[in-house]
Amino acid sequence: MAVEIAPQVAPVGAQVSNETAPYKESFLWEWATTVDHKKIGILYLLTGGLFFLIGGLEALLVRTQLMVPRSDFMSADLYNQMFTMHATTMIFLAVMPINVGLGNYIVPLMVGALDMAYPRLNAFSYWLYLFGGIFLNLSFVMGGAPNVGWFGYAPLTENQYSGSGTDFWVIGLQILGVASIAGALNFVVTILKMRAPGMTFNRMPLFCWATLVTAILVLFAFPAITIALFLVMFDRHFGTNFYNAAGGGDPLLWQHLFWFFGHPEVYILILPAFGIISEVLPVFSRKPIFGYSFIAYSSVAIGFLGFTVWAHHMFATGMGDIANTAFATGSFLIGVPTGVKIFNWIGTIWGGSVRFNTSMKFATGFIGTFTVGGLSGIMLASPPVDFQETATYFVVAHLHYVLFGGAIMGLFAGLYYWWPKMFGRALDERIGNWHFWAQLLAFNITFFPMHWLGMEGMPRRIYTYFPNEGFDLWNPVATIGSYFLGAAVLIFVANAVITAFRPADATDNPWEASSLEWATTSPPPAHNFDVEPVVYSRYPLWDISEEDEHGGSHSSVSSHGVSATAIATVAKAHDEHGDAHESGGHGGGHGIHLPAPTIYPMILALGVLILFLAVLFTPPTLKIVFVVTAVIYFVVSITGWVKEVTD
Amino acid sequence: MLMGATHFATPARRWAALISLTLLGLVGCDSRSPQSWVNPQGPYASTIYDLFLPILITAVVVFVIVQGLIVYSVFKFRERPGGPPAQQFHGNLTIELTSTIITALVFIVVLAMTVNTQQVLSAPLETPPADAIHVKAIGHQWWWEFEYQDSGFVTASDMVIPTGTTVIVEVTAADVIHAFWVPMLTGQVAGIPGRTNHIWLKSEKDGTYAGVCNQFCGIQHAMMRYAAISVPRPEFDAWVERQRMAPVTPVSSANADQSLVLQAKGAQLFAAGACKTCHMIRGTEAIGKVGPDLTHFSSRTSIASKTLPSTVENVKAWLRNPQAVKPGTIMPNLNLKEEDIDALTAYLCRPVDPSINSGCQVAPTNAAKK
Amino acid sequence: MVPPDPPKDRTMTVSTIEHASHAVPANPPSGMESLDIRKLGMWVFLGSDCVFFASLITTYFVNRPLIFSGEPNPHHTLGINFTAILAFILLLSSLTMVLSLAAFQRDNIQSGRNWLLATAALGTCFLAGQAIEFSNLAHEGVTLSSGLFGQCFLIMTGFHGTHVFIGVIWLLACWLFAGTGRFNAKNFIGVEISGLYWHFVDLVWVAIFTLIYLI
Repeated sequence: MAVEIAPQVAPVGAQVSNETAPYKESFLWEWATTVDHKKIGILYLLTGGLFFLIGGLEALLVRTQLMVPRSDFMSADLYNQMFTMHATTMIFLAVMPINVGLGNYIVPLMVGALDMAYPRLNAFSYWLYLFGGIFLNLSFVMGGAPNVGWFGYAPLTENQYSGSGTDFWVIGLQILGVASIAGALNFVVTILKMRAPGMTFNRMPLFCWATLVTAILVLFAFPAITIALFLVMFDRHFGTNFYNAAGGGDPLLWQHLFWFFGHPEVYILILPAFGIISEVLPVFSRKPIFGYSFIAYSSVAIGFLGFTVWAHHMFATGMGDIANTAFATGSFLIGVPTGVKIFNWIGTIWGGSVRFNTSMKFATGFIGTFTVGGLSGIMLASPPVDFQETATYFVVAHLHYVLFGGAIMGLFAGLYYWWPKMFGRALDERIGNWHFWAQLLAFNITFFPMHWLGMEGMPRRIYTYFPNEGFDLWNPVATIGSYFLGAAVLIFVANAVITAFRPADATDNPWEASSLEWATTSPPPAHNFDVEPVVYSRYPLWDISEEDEHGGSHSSVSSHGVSATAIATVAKAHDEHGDAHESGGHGGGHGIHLPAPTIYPMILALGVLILFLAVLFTPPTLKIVFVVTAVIYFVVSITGWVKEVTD
Repeated sequence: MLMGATHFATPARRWAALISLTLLGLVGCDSRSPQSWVNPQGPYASTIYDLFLPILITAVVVFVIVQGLIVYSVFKFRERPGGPPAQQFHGNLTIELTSTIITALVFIVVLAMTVNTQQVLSAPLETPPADAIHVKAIGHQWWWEFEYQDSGFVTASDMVIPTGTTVIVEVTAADVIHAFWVPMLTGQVAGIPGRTNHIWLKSEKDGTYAGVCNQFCGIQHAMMRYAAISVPRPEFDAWVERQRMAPVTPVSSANADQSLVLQAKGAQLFAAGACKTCHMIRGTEAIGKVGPDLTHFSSRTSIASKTLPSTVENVKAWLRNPQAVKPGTIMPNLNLKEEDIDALTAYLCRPVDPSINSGCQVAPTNAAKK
Repeated sequence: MVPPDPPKDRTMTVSTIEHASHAVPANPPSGMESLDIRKLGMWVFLGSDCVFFASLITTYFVNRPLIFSGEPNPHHTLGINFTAILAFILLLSSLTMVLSLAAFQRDNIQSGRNWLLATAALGTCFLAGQAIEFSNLAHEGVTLSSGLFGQCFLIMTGFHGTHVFIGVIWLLACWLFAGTGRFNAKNFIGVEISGLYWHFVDLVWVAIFTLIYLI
């Protein structure tokens, strides 16, 4: 079988790598057909970043409406669309894809692999996500965006209570669910099967642990919401009454199915950030992570326990004291592994030699803001307190502290950390400093007062409020804060743009880190590693042996934790296929072959989009046209894809 | 804590400022809010507050410790030219175990307090006091119906209760999920179509306690407000008696004065026209159940679920075009003629409960404050 | 702080054995060597698919008290005998699937192809039988909109039927590929993976049949 090494396209201003392409392709075609995990990772990051800005804009509009009481900046209906789309966009189109993007780029490198386990499926996941996101946002111009909240409680989603926006929401999330499940499948198999020789689970970087657990959560949580949405679709269009009390159904069935997904979902959102922090803190403290085993196993514990606490979102639905106590217990229990992680992170910094650059600032800032969110979460875990706090701005504060102060801060730490590896040059530190402090300050000004608004009894999801009810001070403060927060994010965008024009002269390991992704060029060549790495410790590039796990310093470790003699070649023995330099086509002796670029994953994803668009059009002829077109796309893409697999 | 530093670093200062601002803010938060549950006015709400406060204090302490450690360690162990190398320890079983156990213990204590509070809160539902009154709260898009089960009448938006008496509230909904919440008196509970939930409240002082719908229920979720109006028991009993009676329908006669003529015309319009399909006025042909019961409308403090205070002008504005006042409301614009609006308003706002000084029955010059 | 010079030779990477006392073998395993990567992918997918069916089965069970409280009792409308035959057909198809894989592993391509066709045929029979059962039920008033039983039952079995349909297409594709000599004693993983999927689909039917028809 012929294997073409996809030509490396360098970002603007970078020096072209010394890999020569066998042929020249157009820029667009190259990115449309890529199956390279690095390019796909960048696609995820760019698209996720764009949706993050869109979601942010939606948030600013929401805050503008709430700046003053009885504002007529937006109608009630438009406001409801805005907060629905803000949440849906941030969760499904921004944070999750950025997590996946970083994971896509870094995880194969971290485990020493050539690519993900299923590169074409990887491409398919991305395109399906992009089209799903476009589908969801098409609603704005096709009858109105969904306005039922991102959690769409039945029976509000029944067709007598909500319009076509709900159909976009129901279908869009199902599309995105398929994309997520396919992506998670890839991560699980990659991490289980494609680790470099010698990299046992015990030596695997914590970001990989986090990604593995996250992927398993996706695999077991998304089917629940997909079925839940499926049933909404049937209720709306096929006469069933799953959630319709009048027809014998039960609205609470939706809540149970949804939150069975919904709670693991929040761990899906935060675990990658936990993993990033666990990578960043040791590097910039110049010492190993404090309590590796605990952090690894607590991630697994959190993942598992995450499936047992869903109904703490339903304390006020009248489940009764016994059920409430059971779920409260689980919710407190899950706080234990989370809490101890925090102490372990502090233990990592403690006694180190801290380089307080931008990535490290975000990482340490993360610990503080996430802790605030975790603590307000503990309050919410107690049902009686929850009776006063749920569905108020207290929860809005809580969720933004864990999702923005947590996940987003973690992602920025990761972006600043891995930026030189991905793009060949680091982000600017001075601009980064401004970004961090502006964002930290603006974030707290925006969201901390919401705790008080919740305590004053301000419900969430209200398009306006009345004057002289205690909400008049903190709402405008939060709104002004949000504008500054938007500006802070733009500082990051400016940083990215400005540095894009700088020379791509990053070294292999600018931060003197320990994991495998830093053992190759920045950015890596198409095949990642010239020679398959072999791993003998948790910190391959630091060369700290396992024997010293419980204390004592290592003689070969220099004053900054990096061995001066850390390099040796071992892997030639593994290349059963002979010449190491053609290893671009072969991976690890497991019979994996890197596929050539292909357009079929994108076509298949397009076919799915077209099929679902058919559901929305009412004229039968238009429906048929779309369905037939979709079927053609399916046949062409699946045949072409399968042919490529068999070749 | 910052020993070894040569000067106070800016990060530390900023965090100190933030923390003190936080604490000040907590102390000085605006408790004039009529919905503030940190200002509880009834045993249910204060029981919850008594659980909340220690948890809050614990949380603040934990945060100060955590954030303090972060700031301290970043500062103390910052890399310095010629400074000490990083200490290469991988962990410390004692510290890890201790922190796990302490965290778990704190949670166990909170859990125990939680279970105890739950028992206190549930007790009146298991064995209601003998003099408790029973109200059924039914959420509709976007108003609350209150059925006084002991006395057999229905009203909307104004839930009058006797001070010092337990009120058992049965909560459900007619269309989508809503939530019943009077923050100063009680916790919230969902009103779910097809199901019944229970909660209780009791106020210890006369007054008006704001209520909100606290589960997103559609376009006008924000405007689904009501109030628990707590009055002394004798006053409550009198109110109940008046509510149970159907008011007399005004009938015009030959030498009736102008206002009675107008009221009678309004009554006729109401009973004959579209109004009766959705609204009920006991004692008339209007028996609709889609919209709020309007039997004693004129004494209610607000219209459209406290979207507006109840005055003659506001009622007319509503009748002119409900969609303009509360877009998306179920009541359509009936395109009424101005003279019909005047008649209907005269009918709906005629004094039915003259002993109550509220609602549109009160002439503008002595209109009660909202 | 200047990072150490990067190694001159870019073909060299990674760790060294620092102390002879814990030298590890030259080719240390990283675990899970025995499970082929494509098979693992199918297993993981099937694990996820389980949760789809579990959610539907849970929905049915949550509604079961209400379903069995009204008239008519669903057990009276369901044609248990007919559906038992369908279950038998599907179980038989799992057997033919196993035989097909065994044939390929023995390099008996023709036999392997025949058994594949038989499996697909039995699967098609199952689907036809399901279609008949659905139309029978519709005649007895059990439809998507007829009530809790109709909706739970039809969606659950319809979802399963869709899985069978996809499986049949997949088997026919395998049959076609086998004709081009793709599968043999050295390379039968494609058949094995489709077999995994097919057995899963069969197992789900056993579960559904037991839970809905028998208890």
